Order: sequence, then C-alpha cells, then structure tokens
Amino acid sequence: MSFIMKLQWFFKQRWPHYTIAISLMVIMNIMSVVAPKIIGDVTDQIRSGALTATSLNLTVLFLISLAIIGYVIFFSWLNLLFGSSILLEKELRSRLLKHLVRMSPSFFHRNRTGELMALATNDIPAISNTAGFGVLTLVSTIVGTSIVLVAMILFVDIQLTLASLLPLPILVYAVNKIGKKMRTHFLAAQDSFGHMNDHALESISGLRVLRAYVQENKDIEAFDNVTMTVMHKNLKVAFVNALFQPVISTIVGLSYAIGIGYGSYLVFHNEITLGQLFTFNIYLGLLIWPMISFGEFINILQRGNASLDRVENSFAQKPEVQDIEHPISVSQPTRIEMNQLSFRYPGATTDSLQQISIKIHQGDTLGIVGRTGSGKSTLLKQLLRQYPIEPEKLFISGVPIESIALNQVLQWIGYVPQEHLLLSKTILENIKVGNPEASIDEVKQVIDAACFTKDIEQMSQGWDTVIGESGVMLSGGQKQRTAIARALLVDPEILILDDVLSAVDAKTETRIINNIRQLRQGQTTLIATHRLSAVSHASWIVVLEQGQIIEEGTHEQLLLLDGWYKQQYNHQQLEAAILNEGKENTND
Amino acid sequence: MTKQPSVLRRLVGYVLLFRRKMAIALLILLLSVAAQLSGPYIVKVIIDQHIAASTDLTWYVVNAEELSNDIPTVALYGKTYVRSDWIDEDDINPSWSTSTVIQLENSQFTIQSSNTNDQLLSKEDVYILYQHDVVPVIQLIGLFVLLLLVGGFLAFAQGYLLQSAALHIIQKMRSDVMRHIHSLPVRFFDNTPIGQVVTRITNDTEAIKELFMSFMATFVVSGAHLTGIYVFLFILDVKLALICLLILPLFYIIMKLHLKFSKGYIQKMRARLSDMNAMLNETISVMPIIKAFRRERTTIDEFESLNHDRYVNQIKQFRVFSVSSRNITNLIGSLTLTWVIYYYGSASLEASISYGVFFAFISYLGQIFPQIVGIFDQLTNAQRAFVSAERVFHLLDMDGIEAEQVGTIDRPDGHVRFDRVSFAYKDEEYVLKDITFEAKQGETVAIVGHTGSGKSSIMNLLLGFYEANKGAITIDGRDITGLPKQELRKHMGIVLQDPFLFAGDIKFNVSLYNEDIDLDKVKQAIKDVGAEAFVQQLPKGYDEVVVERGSTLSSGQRQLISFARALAFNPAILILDEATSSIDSETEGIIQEALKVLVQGRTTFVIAHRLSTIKQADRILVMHRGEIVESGTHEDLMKLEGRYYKMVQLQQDNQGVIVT
Repeated sequence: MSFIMKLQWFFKQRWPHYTIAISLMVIMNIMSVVAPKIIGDVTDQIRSGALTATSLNLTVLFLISLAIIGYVIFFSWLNLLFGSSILLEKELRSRLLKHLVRMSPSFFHRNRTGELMALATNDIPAISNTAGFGVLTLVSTIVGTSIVLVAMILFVDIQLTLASLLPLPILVYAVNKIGKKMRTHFLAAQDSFGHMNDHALESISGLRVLRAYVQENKDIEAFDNVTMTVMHKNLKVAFVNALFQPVISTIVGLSYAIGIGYGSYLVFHNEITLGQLFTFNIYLGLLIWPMISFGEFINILQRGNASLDRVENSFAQKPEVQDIEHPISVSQPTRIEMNQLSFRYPGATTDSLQQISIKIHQGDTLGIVGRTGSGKSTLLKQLLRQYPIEPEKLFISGVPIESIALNQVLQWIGYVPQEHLLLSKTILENIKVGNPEASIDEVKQVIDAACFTKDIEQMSQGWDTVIGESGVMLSGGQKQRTAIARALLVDPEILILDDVLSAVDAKTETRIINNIRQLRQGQTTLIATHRLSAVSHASWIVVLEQGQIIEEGTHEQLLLLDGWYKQQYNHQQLEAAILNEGKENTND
Repeated sequence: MTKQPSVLRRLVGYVLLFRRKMAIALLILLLSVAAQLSGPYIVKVIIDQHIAASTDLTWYVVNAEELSNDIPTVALYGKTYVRSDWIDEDDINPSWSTSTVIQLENSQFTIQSSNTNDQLLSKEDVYILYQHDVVPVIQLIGLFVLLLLVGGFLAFAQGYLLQSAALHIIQKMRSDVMRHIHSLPVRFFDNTPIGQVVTRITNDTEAIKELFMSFMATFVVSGAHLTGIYVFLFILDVKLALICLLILPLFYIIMKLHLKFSKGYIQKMRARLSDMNAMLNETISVMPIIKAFRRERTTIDEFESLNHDRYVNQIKQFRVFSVSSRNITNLIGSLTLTWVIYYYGSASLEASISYGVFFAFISYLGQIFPQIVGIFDQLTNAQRAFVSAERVFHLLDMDGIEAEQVGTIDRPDGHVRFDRVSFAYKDEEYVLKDITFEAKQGETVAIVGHTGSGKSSIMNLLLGFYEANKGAITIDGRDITGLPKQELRKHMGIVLQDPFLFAGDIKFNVSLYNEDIDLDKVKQAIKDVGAEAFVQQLPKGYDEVVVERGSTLSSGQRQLISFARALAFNPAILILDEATSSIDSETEGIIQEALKVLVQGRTTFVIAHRLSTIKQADRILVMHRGEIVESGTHEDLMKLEGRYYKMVQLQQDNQGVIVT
C-alpha cells in the first residue's frame, strides 16, 4: 500500500474522518445482512404458522427504522470519506501552485507546460479519486464480502456457501482478462484517433495547397479511409466490451443456479428451511457487486499511484537559485560591474556569454546591441538571478550578486521582457502588477511616459479594458508600451529593457526614450535593442557577437571605429528614409 | 443558413440510416431480456411446485394397488401417500383420507392426519417425501442454465450490434463533416482558429459517439430490462405490481430535483476549475514577470481563493449527491421491500400465499434499482453530448460549394490579365486598388513591395480563394469568376513562403494524391530541381517519412521539395511566394538554379524577395499600399531611381534578401 505511505501526511491529518467513515461502513455492511435474514425468518414463520399480526408489524417497523438509520449512516460516511478526498484535491492543487512559483526558468524548460497542466487536470483528480472512491471500493469489497460470507455460513450452510461460490473466482479471472483485452484494444483505438486528429489538422492547415492542386476530393477519400480505420479499431473494443455484461451475468447466474439447485437439495434433506434458501439467495446478490468492483479498484489504485509518482517527482525538484545563509545587505546599487563574466545555460553545449567585462555607475544608461542570438537578452537576464551564476563575476556596489538577498536585488529592478508577458486582466491591473499601491497620478505619469495615453483614451473602457485571450487583443506596440509602463511604475533603481520598442515606430520610440531619460535621472537603465537610434544617447554601448563584446564605446566613438555599429547605423538611417518617403507619398 | 430542424431530429436522421441493423438489434434485445429475466420465474416454479408444495398441497392416503404404476407415491411409516398435484382431479377417490405436512417452528416436519396422531419426520423421512421432486427440479435448473446461456449470448449479440451501429453512424458523420469542410470558402478559415475546426471533426463527434453508445447501453437496454421486469411483475401479482409502478414517477421527480439543485453548484465548480487551469497556464507562461515583480504572494492568494470557492461548492454539491442518487435509491428499495414483506405477511394471515411469487417479486425488485441508477448516471453525460452535436450541425449547415470532380481540362496557354481589379477582405478596406497588368504566356512576373502592399492578395484572387470586388481577371480571355474553382486550379501550381509538407513520404509530398504522377515522374522532378543529392542521402530515400511538417528537414530542403511538387504537376500558371529566411549559401545556389528550371515555359508570378529572382523576371510590379507604383524590367526601374532603386541599394547589405 505504497499509495497510503506516500500520502501519510494527509491520512494522518484526517485520521479521525477516515476512522469514523470506515467504522460506519462496517456498521452499514452488518446492517445489510440483517434484512435478508428477517425475510427468511418471516417466510419460515408464515410456513409454520407462527406469524402473527403483531410480530409482522414489529418486524416491519424494525425494517423501516433500519432503512432510515441506514440512510443517515450512508449519508454520513459518504460525506466523511469524499469530504476528505475533495480536500486532498484542493490541498494538492494548492501545493502545486506554491511549488511552481518557487521554480526557476530551467524547471520550465525541462517540464513542458502541457505536462505541468496535466498534473493539475489529470493526475491530481486521479489521486483524489483513489483516496475517495478507491478507499470506498477497497473497504466495501473486503469488509462487505467478509461480513456476507460470515452471515452465509452462520445463518445458512457452509457447504452451500462454498458450492455457490465456486464460479466466482472464474468471474474475477474473466473480468480481469476481458479488462486487459479491452485496454489493449482501447489503446489501439486511441492511437488511431490520434492519427485521425493529425490528419484532420493537416488537411486544414494545408488547405491552400490541397485546393491549389485540386486534391480536395482525394483528401476526402483519404480521410474516409482513416475514419474507417478508427471505426474498425473501435469495433474491436465494442466486441470485447459487449462480452462484459453477458459474461458477468452468466457466471453470476451459474452461482444462483447452484444456490437454488443445491439449496433445494438441502431443503429436500431438511438441512435448511425454505426461509434460509431465500436468505441465501439474497446474500448471493450482495456478494456479486463487490467482487466485480474489485477489478475496478485495482485499476483506480494503479492510476492513482502512477499519478502520485508524477506529482511527487515534480515536487521533489528544488529551486536552482537560492539565498545564501547570511546575505549581505546593500542599500543602493551604486555600481554594476561584470568582471570577465561567462555564462552557459544549463544543459547547453556552448557558452552564451564569454568573458564579459562592463562597468557602469548609478545613473548611467548602458546600450547593448548585436545580431539576433548574440547574447543581448542573456546579458540582461544575469541581473534577474534566474540562473545560477559564476561566483565573484558580477558585483553590485562592490558586493558579489550571489551574496545579496534575492528579494533585495529584485526590489531594485524594473524588467520589461522581450515577450512582454501580460496577464489576462485589465490594463490598469497589468500596469500595477509591481506596485499595487500606486496612486492614480503615478499611473497616469508612467502611461504618459510610455506614450500610451492616446491609445487608452481611444478605448471605450479606457484602462479598465480587459486584455488577453478572453478580452481585447492589443497590438504588438501597445503590449510593449503597457509593459514599459508597468516597469516604470515601480520607479526602479535599475530599469531593464529587452528589445522593447521593436513594434513601435521610430518617432514614438524617440519620444519614449526621451521620457524615460527625463524621468530617470540618477537611475540606471540597461537597454538591449536592434535599433541603434534607441541607444545613441547611452553613456556606454557594447556590441555583442556570439556572446563576446566586439566593439564598445560611446555612440560617437563607435561611429569612428567604422565597424559593425557604423554599418548598421547607416543601413538603418537609409531604411528610415525610405519609409518616411513612402509615408509622404500617401496622405498620412 | 436556412432554419434547421432540431438537433434531436437530425441525430435521429442519422440513426435511421442504419435502421435495419437497429431493428435486428432491438429484436434480439427483447429476446435476450426475456431469456435473462426468466430466471426468477423458474425459481418461482421450483419453489411453488416442488418445495412449498409439500406443505401447501393435500396429501392423500391411498392403497398402492389402487393406482396405476406411473403415478408417483411416497411410502412413510406404513402408509402410502399421493400428493394432490400428482394425479388428475377426476382420479381422486373421495374415500381417501387426507393428510397435511406441516413445518414446525423448529424447522422439523410433521404429518398431520385426521384420524391419527401427528407423525414427526426425521431428515431421511423428509427426503423420502421429496424424492419425486428431485428430477423435476434438476430439469428446471437445467432450463434455467440453458436460458441463462442463451440470454447471455443474445445479450452479447445485441450489445455488439447496437454499438456497431453507433460507430457506423459516427464514421458517416465524420465523413460528411470533412466533405463539407472542403467545400467551405477560404474566408471561413481566416476567421476560425484551426484548432476549433479540428475539434468539430474529432472531439465533438467523439462526444456524440459516447452519447450514442451510452444511450444505447442505458436508455435502450435498461429501458427494455425495466419494461421486462414490470411485465413479469404484472404476471406474478397485478395489485402489487401496480403499487411498484409508482416507483418510477417517484424516481423521476427525485432525479429532476437532484439535477436542479446540483446544477448551480456544478456550474460554479466547472467555472472555477477552468479559471484555475487558465490561471495555472498563464502563471507558467508569465513566470519571469511574477518573479521579477515579486508577485508570488499575490498569485498564490488569487489562486487560493478560486481553489477555496470550488472546494466549498464541491462539498455542497456532494451533499446533494449523498442525499439523493444512490442513497435514496437504497432507501426506497428497502422501503419497497418492506412493503412487499408486509403485503405477503398480512396476506398469509388470511389465506395461503405463493412463496414462489413472494421470492420472485423480491428478486425482480432487486434488479430494478441498478437499472434506474444506471439511467441516472447517464443523464448528465447526455446533456454534454448535445452541446457537441449542436456545434457539429452548425458547421454542417454553413453554406459551401462542393468541390467538383473535374475531368480533363485543356491546358490553358496562361495569358493572365488583371483589369482594374479592386479587392477588400473586409467591408471597404481595399487592399488592392485599380490593379491592371498583363502577363503573357510563359512570362515571369515578379511582385515586390512591403508587407501589406497587396502582393499576397493578387495571388489569392488568381487562385480563386477570394473574389474581386471590382474589375475582371481573365485567363486566355476567359473571365475566371464563373469558373468552378477546381477547373480554374487544375493547371495551376503553388509554392508557399513556408512550404507546406504533409505527413507521408517524400514521394507523397511531391505527387500528393495524383495517380498520374508515378515514382519515375517524382524522381525526375526531384532531379530537375537539384534535390536528388539530398534525397538519396536520406536513410529511406524517396520513402523517407516526413515528420512534423518537415521540421527535421532544413527550410531549403523543404523548399526544394515543394518546387519538385510544382514541377511534377506541370502547371500552366505557377504562383510562388518566395521564402525570406536566410539559408546557407550552398542550398541558396541550388534553389536559385531550381527556380530557373521551374519558371521555364509557364506563366509565373513570384512574390519575390531575392534580387537574383527579381532581376530575371520579364516584368516587375512594385506594389505600395494596394497600388502598382512602378512597373517594368530591372533595367527600366533602376533608371527611374525611384522606390525600386532604393530597395535594391538597401539589400546590398542584407545578403541578397530585401527587407520589407
């Protein structure tokens, strides 16, 4: 029962509930063998003429009270048992989220979102199912069966009991075998369903090609073949499935046949009475169901166990970046220095950053430029502490960053990522993510700085507009500006902008950059970008290529170098000219 | 869309397609139910006619010689007894004295005769009394087992037939849906996410399948069983059966109440669950922001409140569940049973009762309740499936134009004219304004311009994916508006910017379903585009399976394959949307050569990005915001020193790709 061991923390917490529930179940099972005995006795009493109106009435009253008490007991233990399993589900979900929130990015690379979601949608319910329904089936099978067997032997006849139960092991075996066969065929059917899904997806994705080459009818034919295959695989499942009920009822029927046949024989020999025969028959009925559901129980237990393993596995993974035991406190990030910093993503074969050395002071603006994949984002992310870092390579105010408390570092930072990453909430809520206590004026100020005011005014619900999947889809530029406002609202000591103005036109970009410069005098800003115009004002610019700094200096110095920077700069100026000309040709 | 009959009617319509199978299945169902339900009745016979008979019926004391040999007798304590059901009424001699057998409270038997003392019977004596009942009982048990086996076999046959019918229905439905999808205009797919469409074909039909299967299994089969049980109950005892009939409306009311009370809770539960899952999904994707802005606590709190809300509703809903459903079924079952006991008990005080009927009644009653619970369980599933059915039929109802089967069409020369064509995807937002140009047979026309200038729209119109709002497009002088799309496209070919490869082998990707293109033609096409080298290097060559839309192949290789496809189909008009991604210089060279081969002898429209491609064109159209702003050969346009000139200058830096 490793399942129980793995969940001991929960079962220990809820042991009163489980104990009472199981006790109640036992009582109910005992009560359930009473009524058939009474039926048998009444029958014999009728036959021997001993039945009186009084005794009949008493018996009936007794049975009615038994039924009502049984109803209450059933209600109680159902709620106790499933109340616990529902609670387990809630607890596990809670733990899952708390765990995820502590994990670093490499965790999310190792575990795809689909798998993590499956933990929540498939595995957790399966575990809760086992803790509820599983326990129910287990107890009712073991306890229920034993009690009925005891009653059969006590109240009727042991030989009759044994004889009638002969077919039942065959039943368990048959159910098991049919179950296995069905699972095999079922998996095959699911497989073919997956193929059908893929084919449909393809037919629709490749629609233009299919139509351009006039292949529609042929594709319809091909799809017909696929659906036929799906049907045939499912027919096999149906075949085995159709065996289930008849096999069960036939074998069960055989038990009854033996019960009546051998029972009659015993009646003929006056070993048992007619009443006892009745009782026995009803007891047989009570046995059948628990036997059948035992097979189901094995299934549930297996699934629950497997799910529990997956969940535990996930929980066992530890966050990669943690505070050291005694973090050093730093009041202000007066300097940021990188001293031959190299960095490799976990599991990568090459370094993404090689021997980077940069030094900036509080209030500086650092520009980071280079081709796609040159390492710009990676460089910025070093400050975010998402990954373990080489010790003594990155210093803030002279202190190695790994020695400063994570919370402290993050408190200084306002981050605008490349993928903006907005929540499915209102624009206002999105902007206030880092600073929920900000005043309306502060919010207005940052929206202005991000040149977003006009856009918001044009929306019917202003900044109460819900964005995202279930709301309005903002344009790329609008999303970027929202993210910028979000970071600005925190009034960070260190503002990190990762290619955040790509979807914004040059004029607006200039305006935003100027606003940021004005707002943030005396504060540090790091900007990574493709557009050199965004960083021409920077205190220092580094050009990255394959993780290394190939050129650095101020804008003027870099132009003089006549290297990559100059080439890109000229190219971009020309591009801007064409686009501007185009705009002048039409009414803009 | 015209108003359509209800979802139920249409589902029934599908069922009727397989009515013969259904009818046979239903017939077998009735027979199997009858066979399976006969068990308790046979037991009734055993009990009444053989077990209880000894105490119910009169025994006659006879002289052995008086009777013929074939009449069974029992000899006990010097007397010969005959039971009243062993002889005909006419043969009864009124002079015979009678005896009764009585079972005492201590379960022993005695024989009571009018003229003698009660004789207590030993166990062996009782057996002597019953000796002639043994064989009949064995025979009856035999019948029981026989009917059991027959019933079981019939139940299997019926189960399989009904499920098979359901599966056939779904296959037909899926076929209809796919056929219909191929008839829907391209415009529909612009507005509908692919995932949604695929769900209709696969998941929604699957839900309908579940509906049919469960409907068959429960409503039909359980319904038949319930009817059969009640038939037997009526045969046994009309009065009691009538009272038991009341159970059904009682359960109906309980079910309705249960559904009504749980509905609110279930909706909230589902809503919270989907909220939580959405939140989980989102949290995972925006995790860097949550960490960077230290929003962990807020996120956890938000999630917890959803979690708690769902929990509270779940507990409440479960309470409703434990008050009704299985619990109340048990209670009603027990009370009904008690009533039956009371009925027979009090009846027995007045007159003798049939123990067999008593027993059989209890037996049948016991079978009613599982059937009812089963129906109950299926009700909620049925609701869900209806929603799916609605969505599927909605799709089927959309107006579409069925793809026509076209035979051989004469190959057009490929003289294409656009005459003052204007086109808007939506309302009055024109993406093409007054476009006029001409491409003679075999000419290559390159179209350049920035994103949104209208290049792809020209292609879409030519292919007949959309219709022009104004103006006319002609091929060889024929206006294409009237033509069936399949005829129009028969001699056209397309190469997409991001070439689409299908699951299947290389050969299939070149020939698609076209039987005229055999392996030789495929090989020739591959050779002509210069892809022979790389295909032969693949482990299985032409049989190499393309996986995941060709993600294992480089983008250059994928382009070559789709070139080969175009070549193999040998269209008169080719539409090519050049890829923009940079490729290694070696493959780049191969592709440039392949392009030269491809455009020979056919009218080609290229949405071009490479200078080398554009330079070779017979005519270049420079598009800007839906209009042709410059047109001519490369040399002509360079002399103009306009847009085209500037674009060429820019690309000098960009490895031969024009950034647009």
